[in-house]
Amino acid sequence: MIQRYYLLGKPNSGKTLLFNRLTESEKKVANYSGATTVENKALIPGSQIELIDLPGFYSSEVFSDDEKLALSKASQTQNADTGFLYVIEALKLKSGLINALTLIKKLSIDINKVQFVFNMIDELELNKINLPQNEIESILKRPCHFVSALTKKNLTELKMNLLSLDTFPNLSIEDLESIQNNLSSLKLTPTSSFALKNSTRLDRYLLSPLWGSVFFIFIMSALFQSIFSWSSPFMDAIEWSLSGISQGVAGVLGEGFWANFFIDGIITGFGAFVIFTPQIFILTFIIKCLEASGYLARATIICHKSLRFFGLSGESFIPLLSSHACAIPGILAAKSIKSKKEKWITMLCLPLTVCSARLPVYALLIYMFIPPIYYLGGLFGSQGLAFLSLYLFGITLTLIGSFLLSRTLIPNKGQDPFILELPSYRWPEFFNIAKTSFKVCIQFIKDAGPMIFFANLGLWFLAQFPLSQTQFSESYLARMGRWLTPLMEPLGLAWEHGVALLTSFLARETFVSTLSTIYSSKNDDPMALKELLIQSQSLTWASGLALIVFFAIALQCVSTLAILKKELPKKFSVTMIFIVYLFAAYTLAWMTYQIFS
Amino acid sequence: MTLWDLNPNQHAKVSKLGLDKAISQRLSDMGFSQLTDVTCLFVTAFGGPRVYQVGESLLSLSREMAQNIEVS
Repeated sequence: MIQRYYLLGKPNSGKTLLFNRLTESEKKVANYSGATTVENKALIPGSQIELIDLPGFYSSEVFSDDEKLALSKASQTQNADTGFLYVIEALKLKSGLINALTLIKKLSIDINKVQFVFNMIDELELNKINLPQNEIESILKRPCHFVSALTKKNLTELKMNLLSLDTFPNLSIEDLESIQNNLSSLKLTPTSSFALKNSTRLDRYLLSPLWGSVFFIFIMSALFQSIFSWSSPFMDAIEWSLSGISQGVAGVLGEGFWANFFIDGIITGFGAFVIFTPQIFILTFIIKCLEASGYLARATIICHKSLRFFGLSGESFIPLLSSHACAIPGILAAKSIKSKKEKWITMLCLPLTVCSARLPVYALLIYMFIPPIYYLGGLFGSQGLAFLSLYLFGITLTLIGSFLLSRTLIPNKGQDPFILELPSYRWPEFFNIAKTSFKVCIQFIKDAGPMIFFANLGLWFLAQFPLSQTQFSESYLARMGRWLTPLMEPLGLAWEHGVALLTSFLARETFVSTLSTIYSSKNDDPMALKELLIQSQSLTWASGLALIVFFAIALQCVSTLAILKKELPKKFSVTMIFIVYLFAAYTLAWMTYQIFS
Repeated sequence: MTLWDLNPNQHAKVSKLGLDKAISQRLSDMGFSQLTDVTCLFVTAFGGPRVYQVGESLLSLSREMAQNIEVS
């Protein structure tokens, strides 16, 4: 009896969404080829049957690691208890089947273990196309399921079928030949015109040499600008709530050690980080909408040529964009890049993009130094534009890094075997994307929260003790912090920033909460961190810029280093990568301060 | 004449894949086999990859790839 089903098929045929629906999982789905780079496994609820989702592949000739993984699983899994669900896009039924049968033969997959799943039938219904389902089933002589993973149509029947013990006549290699011959005589409504009609209508503008580039620049600028502009009201609301909670705690506990502990040690420190979750939500939401729409594949084509100059390719675009949310999904997305060298360069330079952990630091500095001025009826704001320029700075650093690597350590001026299948445009499922983005925020708090909490607690104790201190400068924290002064002075920074920089190596976001804990310990009046920093006059324009440069380059993320160690070949020492990044960050921050002070 | 020479909306038939064996096999599995009808749909900026219709699919190929596919 079958105990395990592998999901096979071309990239972007909807395997992962089908996997999510059948196993009630929530793995990443997107409307472009190569969204799945690892195998996903889960049991079908209520059964002992395991479903395994594999990255998609077109051919027996594979180039990228994810395709190699899928191919090795498909060709070596000949156990009696293993079956295959071959997923084919219903609108591309005939070409999909021809490709599937060719691969089944080439990889010596036992046809008797294969069931065909024709996915996305909702698109057929939308275009009023009827498929001759009985005829297709009689030609293939194998179970055929016509489903829509998106609308969940016929999924219950598919699930029941997988759990049942129905048997079908055994087929031989000769039968496979006759199936291929019969298939060529299958007459279908010309579905291609429907599949392509919508795409070509939009692509006439979105891929045109002039308007395509204008739209690309507009959409990327709007993405990074909106992170700042749209999140402001939500951030104000969180700030207001936190201040209300602090006042409530002060009202209950009065003044003294414990009130100080809860307000300065816990609420202030944790709140300083939580306040930036609206920005993370908006960034994730927009990137996921772009992924689902099918536009990202077009963006890949538009920037391919320019990225080639920097030693990358269009295939690096999606990993680079994803890394603006977090470097880890970006590095995983880079696994689908076919050229090894391009993949290594992309992975090594990804940490230079502005990930969400850098947002709190940048946002704080922008709030401090850039007064809010609005243009075009509030559509654009000075703070949003400053944010956009920081994103551009991150992108520039990434491109400079990849340019240098491709011309020195990893020479990459070879072939350019770029082939990409363009997906159809689809409306994003806004509600589900909002739900996923919300979960990303919760996960973000869960991941960084404990680290920030304990780091802040430790800092708060160091700031409060010895209890005999009459001034903050006598605290253990101030005494220890002063050891960092020789390192901080060349950057125009004070020891407080040094302590915050040190803790930011646990997680970048800890920088803001550390400063918050230090400055609120120094000051009796409750106020927001930006006001505390402005009042302290410890940061000048030049030292603020130096701080930005340091943060833009330094690789203060343990998780990124761990995933780089896993995904890069052994010749790339992760310790060395960390040191090179740190050295570059410190040197360039020093140069920045010297130039602007 | 190569695939790269096609102008937008111009049709042709693939006559020869002059790329190395692995890439030719992959292209063939993606639908680019001999005698297949192909239409050039879009030309992008700065000599970037072009978009072709092959059967039910839209495929984008870089200059290096398209210049090695002969069409008639």
